[in-house]
Amino acid sequence: MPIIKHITTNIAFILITVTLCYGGIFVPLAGEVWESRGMYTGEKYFRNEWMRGDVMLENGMVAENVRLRYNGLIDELFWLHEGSMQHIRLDRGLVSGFRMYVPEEDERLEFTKVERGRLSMLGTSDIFVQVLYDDIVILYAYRQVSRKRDVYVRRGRSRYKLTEVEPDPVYFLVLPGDIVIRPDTLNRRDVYRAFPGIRNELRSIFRQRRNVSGYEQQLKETVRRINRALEEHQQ
Amino acid sequence: MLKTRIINCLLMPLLIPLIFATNSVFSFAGGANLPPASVTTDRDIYIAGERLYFSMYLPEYDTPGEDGRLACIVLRCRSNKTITSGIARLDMGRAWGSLYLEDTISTGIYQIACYGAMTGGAGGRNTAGRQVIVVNRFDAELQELELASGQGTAGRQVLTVNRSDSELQGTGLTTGHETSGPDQENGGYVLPGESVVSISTNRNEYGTREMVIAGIEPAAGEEYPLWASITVARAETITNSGYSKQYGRHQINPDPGSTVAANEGNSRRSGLEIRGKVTCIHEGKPLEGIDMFLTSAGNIIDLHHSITDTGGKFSFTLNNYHDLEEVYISPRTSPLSAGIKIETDDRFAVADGFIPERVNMDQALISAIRKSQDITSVNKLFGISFHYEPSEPPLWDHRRPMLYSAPANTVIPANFLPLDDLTEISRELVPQWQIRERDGVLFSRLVNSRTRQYFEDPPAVFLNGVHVVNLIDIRHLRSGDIEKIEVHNYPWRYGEIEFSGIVSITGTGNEYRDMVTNGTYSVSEIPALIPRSTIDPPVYDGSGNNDDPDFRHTLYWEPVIASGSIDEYRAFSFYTGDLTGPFIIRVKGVTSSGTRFTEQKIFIVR
Repeated sequence: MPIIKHITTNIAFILITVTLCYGGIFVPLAGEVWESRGMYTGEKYFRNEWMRGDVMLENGMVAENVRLRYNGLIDELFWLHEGSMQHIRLDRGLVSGFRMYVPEEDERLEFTKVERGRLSMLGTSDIFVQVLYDDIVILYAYRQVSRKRDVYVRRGRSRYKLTEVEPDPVYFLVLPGDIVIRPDTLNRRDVYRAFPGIRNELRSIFRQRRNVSGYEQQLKETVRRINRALEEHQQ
Repeated sequence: MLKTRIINCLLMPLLIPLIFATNSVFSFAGGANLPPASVTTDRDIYIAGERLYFSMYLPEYDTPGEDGRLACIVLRCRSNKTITSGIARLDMGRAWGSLYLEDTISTGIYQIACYGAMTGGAGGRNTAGRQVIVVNRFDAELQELELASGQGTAGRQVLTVNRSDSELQGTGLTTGHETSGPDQENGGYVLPGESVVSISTNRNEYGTREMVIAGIEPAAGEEYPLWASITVARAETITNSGYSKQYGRHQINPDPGSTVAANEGNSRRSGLEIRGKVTCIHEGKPLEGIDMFLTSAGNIIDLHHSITDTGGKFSFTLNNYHDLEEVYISPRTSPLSAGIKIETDDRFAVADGFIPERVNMDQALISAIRKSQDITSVNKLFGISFHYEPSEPPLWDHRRPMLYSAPANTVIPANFLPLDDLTEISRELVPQWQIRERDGVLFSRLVNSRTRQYFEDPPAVFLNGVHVVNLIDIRHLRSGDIEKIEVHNYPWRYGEIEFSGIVSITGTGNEYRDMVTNGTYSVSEIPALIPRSTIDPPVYDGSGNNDDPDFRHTLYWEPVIASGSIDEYRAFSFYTGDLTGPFIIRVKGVTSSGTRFTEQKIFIVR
């Protein structure tokens, strides 16, 4: 067994070496050297660990295989500069999207930058949203983290204020014609009428609470079915 | 722990070779069986004032899905002097285009050489060259060629021009594939009896302005063309040689393990490589660990960074944005600038000398050349050209690199009272930027936008995108000279470079020009990108007005037959012109096993 383990480790090393050899172009990322401010309880990052990923820049270049973390509290993408271990808040004006890899789940998390106006949100800026499903009907998840309350804790003689934060995802369905609906606020009857073939599935979705486990998966499945129904309808 | 080490010691020697084996599977670059680099031209004899159409194949860049890599093309004379040069965009290792042969080029034997412009992969190791004869249009003596006829390579085959006798039997030409040649020892040829493709025509004789229907078909065999070009040209302009040769390594030779070598993996998909050396101006020894910047003039800051290695060498790989004529290389900090010398390598220097083949200056060649001179003179006189240059979107149009997306603060001096110099402007208009003079040297620093404290180090300053090494060089700038000042006073990182803020000045004129010529900077010229031009032959199908004379030396030129498109019979057609005599259809290429081949067929225009 130890030999197998070592072979696996060494093969992983080889694959990493090969990947780096052919990993492609060096694309410089730009951003502010960040010093974290404030103390928090709860997770302000979408995934707390630094994950390998790629950053798609507005100029069409892609910075590959860098370590990334998305801060949902301030909606900013962070890059870990491995040479200095500095946390760099990437210049969001230069970033068009990013993807992060979850090797243990064999999953690729795809994010894109969308203008708030396009999602019928207030403000003129943009937000990073995770693309959960991309077809005729698109499903986005805005991985925002919200402040819940301030908590005061005593450590030794000192008293600290911690801000309690928790994930507060918002989902957006983008229909053809750039019509955006939020599953939690939409008029259900309109949706039933729009997609009569999958009425029962939609009803079960709407009955569930937003943060119930499996809600997101069921939402994705519903969007998949909506897309299939639309494709069949188009044919 | 000991057990772990032992297992690792046993396994790693087995697995490390696997890495290299994997490399060679993924790319030609690492493989020992790399096909030869090849270059071919539409003809072998040219008259100055014409265009030379070329096609090249650099197998180390023949990677599926890859394009945008660059190759260098050089036309050099026998004294190794570059006559004309440029860079061409590779598409899966293939590139084509044309070089204009200036009227002033003197008669002689020249070589067109090509190699990868990047260091990635095996770039530079695989250099191809091809000999061509260029004759000055006004040279009646042709002494240079006569001289060359007696000075060629000893023991090599003498080049002979294909004769222009009216009878095919008198031409000395053969229809079929090449079975021998001067470069046979370079491993270039398919053996006798092993045709790779066969060429056919609907007839053997044609009238002027008549359609020729031709076709090529791969021969039944294991080998198929990997890359090939088709040319149809006057037999008199095609010699019996001119095979593409493979040369040794390009002159620029990085030391293994140096910074230059370490950057190689990253430059595989990038653009042009600019290399050079930094030495001490007094002692001449190479300087290690110097931070070097490369910038260019423009509306944005396109910054490249390199650190000199133990040999004082630096290397910049231009990104895909560059569409400029020159770039500026400078040290990052000013105290260094006084004592260093920056030299850049000549990317068009080919290390191997060019030894031309001997030319057999017989009467047939002389009369053929004189006829070509006359034809070219007529073409020039009437302005007849069938050159076709497709309008391509700029290669690097959207690849706009940016140091930052939006500055923290922008100041437009025109909105304020005019001020006399930059020190005054910073003091009065840019409160975040402090400039102080000490012992004749200007120092500057910015206020950190986050902490409201001064940064310890000076900011990076740019003027029209060009890095300012010594602030004193731009101190004289008045309000009227400055369009705007962008201040980005954040602790900023751009790739591997960290800044204590950035100041970017946009001047109203070209003030940066005086700055870059003061000795601190090395100015490097960026060669022009050669368009993918071809010949657009006329069509004589009765439609349109075709009264102009048609004295084409080359009737048809197809620079690249893409791989896979000649798996079966492939027809092509063209029209003959007003010139009569024998013409040659020539297919040159490289086979799937890496051997070069040439097939040709003759027809007569009466």
